[in-house]
Amino acid sequence: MNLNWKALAPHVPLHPGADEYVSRPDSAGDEIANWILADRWPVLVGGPTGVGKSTELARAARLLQKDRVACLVPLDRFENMRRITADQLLLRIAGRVAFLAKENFHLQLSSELLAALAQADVLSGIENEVKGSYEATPAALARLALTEVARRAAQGRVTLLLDGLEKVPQGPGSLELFDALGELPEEVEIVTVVPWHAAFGPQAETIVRPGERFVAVRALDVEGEAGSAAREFLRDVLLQRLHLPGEALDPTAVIQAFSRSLTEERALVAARRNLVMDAVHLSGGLPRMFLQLMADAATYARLRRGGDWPIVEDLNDACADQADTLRRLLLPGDAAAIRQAAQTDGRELGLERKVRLMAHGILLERMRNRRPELEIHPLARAAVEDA
Amino acid sequence: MREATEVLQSALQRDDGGIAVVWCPDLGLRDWLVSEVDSLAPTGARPLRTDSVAEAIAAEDRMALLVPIDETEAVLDLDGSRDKVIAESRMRKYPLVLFLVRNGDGARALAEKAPSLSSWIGGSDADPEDIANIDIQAERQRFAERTGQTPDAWLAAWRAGGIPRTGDKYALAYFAMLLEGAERA
Repeated sequence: MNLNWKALAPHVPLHPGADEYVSRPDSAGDEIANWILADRWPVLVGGPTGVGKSTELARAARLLQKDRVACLVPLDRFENMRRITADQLLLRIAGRVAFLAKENFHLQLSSELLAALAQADVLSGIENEVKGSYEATPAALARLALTEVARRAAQGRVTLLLDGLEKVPQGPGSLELFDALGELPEEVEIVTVVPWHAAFGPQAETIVRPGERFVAVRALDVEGEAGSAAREFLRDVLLQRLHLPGEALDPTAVIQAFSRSLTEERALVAARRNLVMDAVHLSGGLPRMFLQLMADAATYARLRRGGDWPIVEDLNDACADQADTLRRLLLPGDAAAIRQAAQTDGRELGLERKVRLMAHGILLERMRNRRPELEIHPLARAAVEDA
Repeated sequence: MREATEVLQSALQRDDGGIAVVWCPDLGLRDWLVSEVDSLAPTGARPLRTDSVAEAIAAEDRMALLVPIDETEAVLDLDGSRDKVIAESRMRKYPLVLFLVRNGDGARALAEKAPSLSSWIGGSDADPEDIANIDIQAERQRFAERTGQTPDAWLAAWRAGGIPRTGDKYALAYFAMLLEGAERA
């Protein structure tokens, strides 16, 4: 059986309703949806890179679809987030909402609105004749789009799930963008990923205001008894993307073998299971890194032996590649600071350094006895100790 | 034990339509590495060398070789535009390959201000020369076992035109040159 390891695609987040989605322990997507359905918004979302924020936003959008016109707006797929302006943000929201309203919710929107959005060049994907003309400021256009969609939809309400804003550089520009969201109609429910400095720094109050809910998407704790569900989750993510059945890594499920003995077949399945579990532990509970490790190991297997499944040596080398990446991200002084901050809540760590190391996932925040505690990523430990 | 060429090929092949980084020891070797990656490109990839992030992203049906003039700007723009790589088409087959100089401004920008990009390239940022430096004697022995010749002898034949200019042989030539240079040093 030829497995398509390319399907792991660690760099591609899942879209709402994707078959490959696996429900994760303490699902942020479910938490987001529950807040919205309880009329508690805005909801702000933060977490390190590769932890699954985009996938959880997509999950929330899917869960909300019955009750809301839930619009996932992946801003970073359309704009350079380093240079995006408030006007571009509003126009992208307007264009995306109109697009999803037509394509996913099959709503008939006014030709003037579509014409204005087409004129602003934010209506890609809708191939219909746009008649009429209308001109408006970006803020007015966004309000018009949201109001019209809410009025025409049976759900009657619109939820915006904004992805990509974590990439906005710290500074006045980022505050302008968040202020621009205040131009949208009050009844529009907003869920947004927040910049790194807001997610990890004490200055979060500049963006996270009283009354707003913050959903932290943390790296999964894959260790010990408490990590059992997380380990199973990551294993299932792999199986789902490879289109393998749940028992594919269960040696006791092997009841017959063709090209080798039953004992050998079971040993082979056990070895694969152990390899996957090794990758789970070494990923530090970051789903993207787990997929990267498995994809990398599989690439080595293919290059070296034309093999379908990687072996221990392949995974070792995939880990060495990841460790090299993390080592290159360490700046002078980082190693000593990381050693001091490990197993603490990180309050002594300089703000800029803390934000940077947590965003990279080099320092992972764990909850121990309901208190946050920083832990060095397993694959960064050697680099930190060597430095 | 990792081999430099395998690490490079793995970086290029892991994520269809993703981003890979090739670390270059210096600007002189950067051009060589660009041609090396060019030679490893699969059939139909039509490698496109460019210094523009926008042009590299727009080259949806080609393998973009992004050789920036300003590494910091390129890294930050690619960080801010990362997901545009998968925006227009999920059918993108070839990676966007960013060439950065080891310990240069791009490395600093990646560490300081580009967590999104660095997350994507995790495990796919290859420094072939660094890998080759791990154990030169062992690598020379492995090379000899693989080709039946020492790197120096193999290179002599390569330079004399006695070895066909195919993709795998280009990769072998690069590896041999790393081993040859290291021995002289």
